[in-house]
Amino acid sequence: MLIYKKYINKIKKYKETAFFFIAIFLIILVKNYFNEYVVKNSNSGILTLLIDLLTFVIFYLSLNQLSKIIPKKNNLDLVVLLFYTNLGLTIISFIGSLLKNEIIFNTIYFFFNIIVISVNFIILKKLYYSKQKKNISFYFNLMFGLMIATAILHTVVENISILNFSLIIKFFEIITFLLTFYCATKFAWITFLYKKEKLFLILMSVLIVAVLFVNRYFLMQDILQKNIFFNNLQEYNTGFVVLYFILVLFSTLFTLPSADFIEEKKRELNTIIKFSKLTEFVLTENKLFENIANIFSEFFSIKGCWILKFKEDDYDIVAIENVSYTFATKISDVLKLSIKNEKSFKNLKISEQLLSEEKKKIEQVNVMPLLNGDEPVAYLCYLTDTLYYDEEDYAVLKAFQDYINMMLKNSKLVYESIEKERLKNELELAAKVQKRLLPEKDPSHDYFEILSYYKPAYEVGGDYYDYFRHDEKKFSFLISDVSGKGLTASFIMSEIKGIFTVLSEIYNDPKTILKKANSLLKKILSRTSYITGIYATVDIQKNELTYCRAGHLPLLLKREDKVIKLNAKGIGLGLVFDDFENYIDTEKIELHNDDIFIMYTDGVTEAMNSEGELFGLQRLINLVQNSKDLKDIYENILKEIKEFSSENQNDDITFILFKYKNRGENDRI
Amino acid sequence: MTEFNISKEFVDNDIVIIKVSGFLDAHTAPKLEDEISQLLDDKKYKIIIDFSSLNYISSAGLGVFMANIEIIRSNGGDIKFYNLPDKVFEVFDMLGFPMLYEFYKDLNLAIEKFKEQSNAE
Repeated sequence: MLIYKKYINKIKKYKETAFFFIAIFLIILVKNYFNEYVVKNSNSGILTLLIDLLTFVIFYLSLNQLSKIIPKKNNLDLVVLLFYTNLGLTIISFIGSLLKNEIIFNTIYFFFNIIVISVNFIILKKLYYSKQKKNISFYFNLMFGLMIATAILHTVVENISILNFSLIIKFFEIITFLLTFYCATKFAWITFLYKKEKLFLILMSVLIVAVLFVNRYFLMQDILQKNIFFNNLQEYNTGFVVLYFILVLFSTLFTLPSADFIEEKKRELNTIIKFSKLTEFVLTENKLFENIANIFSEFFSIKGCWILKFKEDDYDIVAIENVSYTFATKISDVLKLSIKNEKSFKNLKISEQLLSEEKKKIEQVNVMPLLNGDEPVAYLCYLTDTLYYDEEDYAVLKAFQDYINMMLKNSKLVYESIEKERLKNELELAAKVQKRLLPEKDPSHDYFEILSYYKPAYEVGGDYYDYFRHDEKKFSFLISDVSGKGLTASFIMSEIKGIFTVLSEIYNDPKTILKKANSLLKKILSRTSYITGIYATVDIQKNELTYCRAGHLPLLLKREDKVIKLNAKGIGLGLVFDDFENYIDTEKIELHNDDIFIMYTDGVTEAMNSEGELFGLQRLINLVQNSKDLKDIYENILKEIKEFSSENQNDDITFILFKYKNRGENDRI
Repeated sequence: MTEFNISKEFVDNDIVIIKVSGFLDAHTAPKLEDEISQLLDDKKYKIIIDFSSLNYISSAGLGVFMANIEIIRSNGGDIKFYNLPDKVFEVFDMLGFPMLYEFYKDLNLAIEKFKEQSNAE
């Protein structure tokens, strides 16, 4: 079954081709064997009718076959194809007129004729539909149908003389003619042609009309006279083609003057498309200029252009198009003084002397400043052969200038954001590096519970905290703050890390360490920056905390329900370098179990609300007092600062909390 | 917020009183710094800073006074502070500035101190 279906499909597919060849075979048969008879015997109506019927079938099939073969080309190519086929037919007609009545030749001539008629119809149909916005198939089909119908009527009337339809035929012919005329006016496509194409079309139209007339002169009437249907079809077809191309010829002639304008509009459109494509790419400025020069010279009918960019006292030609570099330089030398910093269009007549070397016809040089925002970035100089520009030209030029302005702005923005992105990436990297300078995690220890928080205002900051272990019994906590913030502060912070790490290895006394650090910092700090900090050492054996405060905010101690400000005298690091030890005191605190110490930077106390009010030390003391435990204090500080400053952080925030829990007392029991 | 402002007034032609009001922070500090460098260019080394209308001072603001103090003192001058609001004084105090600079409640005392110094010379 399946195989059977497959064959059916194949047969269906080739059905038409098969019919075509059968019809050809039949007509050859009929023509060859009965032609003599037909010509001699004028009453053989049925036979002529049969030939006409076969002609109709062949015409129909060839129309079908050819409409598949003729490619979808542009209209002008179709016109050329039409010309060649008709020219071919004329040549064959000419040869035929020499040979006369060669039966084989007649048959070939007949087929060729049918093919040409089909081609003519197909091509005209395509032209008819081209660039039409409305659906107008009805008229064409009606015209075509009437042509066929009238031709059939003719043959029927001629062959079966009993019937007299002459009035109806006249009526049909008139309507066919009117429709033909209507259809011949559908040539909207010619409006969209370039001037050159229009000129070519005029030539083609003249040739086609001429060829068809010549063809008609050589047409072998005597062979075809008995083939009434075909004869009529040929007449109608010729009429349609001739009418169509005569109308095309005249309307093309009439629209020729406006061709330039249409061309310009078309070019404008293309330029806009090109330009908008250009904006999709990120171009360096020079690449952009090259593209601008290129598009500009393509767009406007100019005699060359270049872009010059000022560079201090001199200038650079950054792009050049259709003009020699030496000539552009010569003109630019003359121009440069008058156009520098100019924001409006300028033009200048070029002197004979300068022109002598250029062969082109040039009258003047025009300058269009290329602006980015309000700033002239470069100047587009272009040469023209007219001295005069009308307002419309100027409007287009102005639009062009605006477009470039936008492009330059975009390109600048894109590059800036790329740069910003790069800096951001580098800062993020710096932030990662800095994060590594701080303790990876809060150490867990039998005698302490420690919690810390660090958040710089920007990617990197100047706050620093650390823990040091001197020996089994001695531990130190350090918090410090570099004046200022951001990148500069972060560089100093990393130096401090080095200094304190090394000093804490050697010494275990806060004052000595701060004194040494101070003198080391002299080389690092600028005159306006300083560092504040607290260095606190816990001695587990002695149950004692020793601390020094170098200009830093007081150390807070929460003991039971009280909060004590530990505010030993001490000057910031980097303020004095002689006799530093005289400016700083050491204080010792006896440690109780569950003592909580709070070290913090000014990011906490100087958190600011929208009214410019500072969070302040008192608020911190109060919240510590009202909090129960380490975790509680930690969370309350963050919560209250967040609420107070509505999340606007403008300084680095750092704090360390540690709770002392010596189990020595238990040991004693 | 009070607008940042600097005004100056000369006493006896060689003592200058600079009145700073508003917020002295990283943004405004350079203005004060310029003002002081201008005075040094004019060889005025006796400077009294009037902070009575100062609302806030940040670390960058404090840095301004450290920048030139060595030159000022080596030229027989000084920077003296006068009439600080308690909050501002706390900041100076915490950092240890009173160990390095003189602070006055009374302007006349500050002026007199300068005069004494020049008489001693």
